[in-house]
Amino acid sequence: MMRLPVTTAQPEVPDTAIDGWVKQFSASDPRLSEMVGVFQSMGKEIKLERECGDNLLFEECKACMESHPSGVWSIWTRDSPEGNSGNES
Amino acid sequence: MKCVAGIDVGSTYTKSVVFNPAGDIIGKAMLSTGFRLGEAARKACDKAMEDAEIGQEDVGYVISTGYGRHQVDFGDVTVTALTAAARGAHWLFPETRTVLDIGGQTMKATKLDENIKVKSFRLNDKCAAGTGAFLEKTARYMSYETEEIGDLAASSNEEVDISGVCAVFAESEVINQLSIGSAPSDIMHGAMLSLMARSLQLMRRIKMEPEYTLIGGIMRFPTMVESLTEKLGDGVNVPEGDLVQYVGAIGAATLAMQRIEKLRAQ
Repeated sequence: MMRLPVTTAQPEVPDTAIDGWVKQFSASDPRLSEMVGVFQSMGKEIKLERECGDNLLFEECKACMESHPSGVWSIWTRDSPEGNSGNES
Repeated sequence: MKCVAGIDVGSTYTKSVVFNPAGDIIGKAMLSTGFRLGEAARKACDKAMEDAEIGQEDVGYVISTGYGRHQVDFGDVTVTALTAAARGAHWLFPETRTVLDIGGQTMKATKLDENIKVKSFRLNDKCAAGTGAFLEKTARYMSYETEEIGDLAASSNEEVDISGVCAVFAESEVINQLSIGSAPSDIMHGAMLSLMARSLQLMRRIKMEPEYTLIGGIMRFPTMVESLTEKLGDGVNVPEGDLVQYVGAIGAATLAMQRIEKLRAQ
């Protein structure tokens, strides 16, 4: 029988932060561009990292991720050194 | 002063509302988005105007929002879905500080400040997991229609643990559960609870605060709302009836009201 991506519990996922950069979520276009714009309007610095799917448990997940033509990207944000003045409105 | 319209072109449904100059909803309409986003927006807006018994000449300002908002060629301005949902939630429930929006393709948790500004937000990670599509596919694999999901989940008698929320794997999960004798109603209920657990994770990550306003197509299902309310405690708001799906369009319309008033004052 096919192996399923099922766990017995829903673990809490802590924020991943490195040098002030916080991993937000992953997205592909057109949503990716929109969300980057929203974070910028909130005064955040943005860094994008291509998701290669290596840290996924299942090969099927990787194949699904690779099926997006422009790729799936993780959005990392950091409070801007000039201060977090903005809010999305 | 003229009426205004808000249009929310979502990935699954397109919604439109019309406000009269006093700021009351006088017409609304919703239809499947399909592949022609601009056409869906036009039709939804026309139907909302028909519902309001007004013509195009009576509408002075149109704001579009949602995934397909840039395809609306007759709108005056576009705003993001986060902004529109925040405004709509505030219009319905002024004390809203956290908005949870679960639609067909996305799950969004947004934290607002007292000025209705977005302070922080999270989306589900980009994959088919954790959205309404998961529930729809789970239902379809058991030969149920989307409209039957609510009643099916509500008739559950036994708890079934469904921890995955991947729409791609929903079929295998359903087959597994059916093979061990689980009832479709229990599987549907388990799928909903799994989605709820995922949404709570998202809300915790934005450091949610009451009042919570729950919106989006998934909130049509009483089981989802009841289980979320049980977990969140006091301070949960849910728009009445099908308004739960119109919050983005309402938010766009409230912004259109502001813009038209500003233009009038100039």
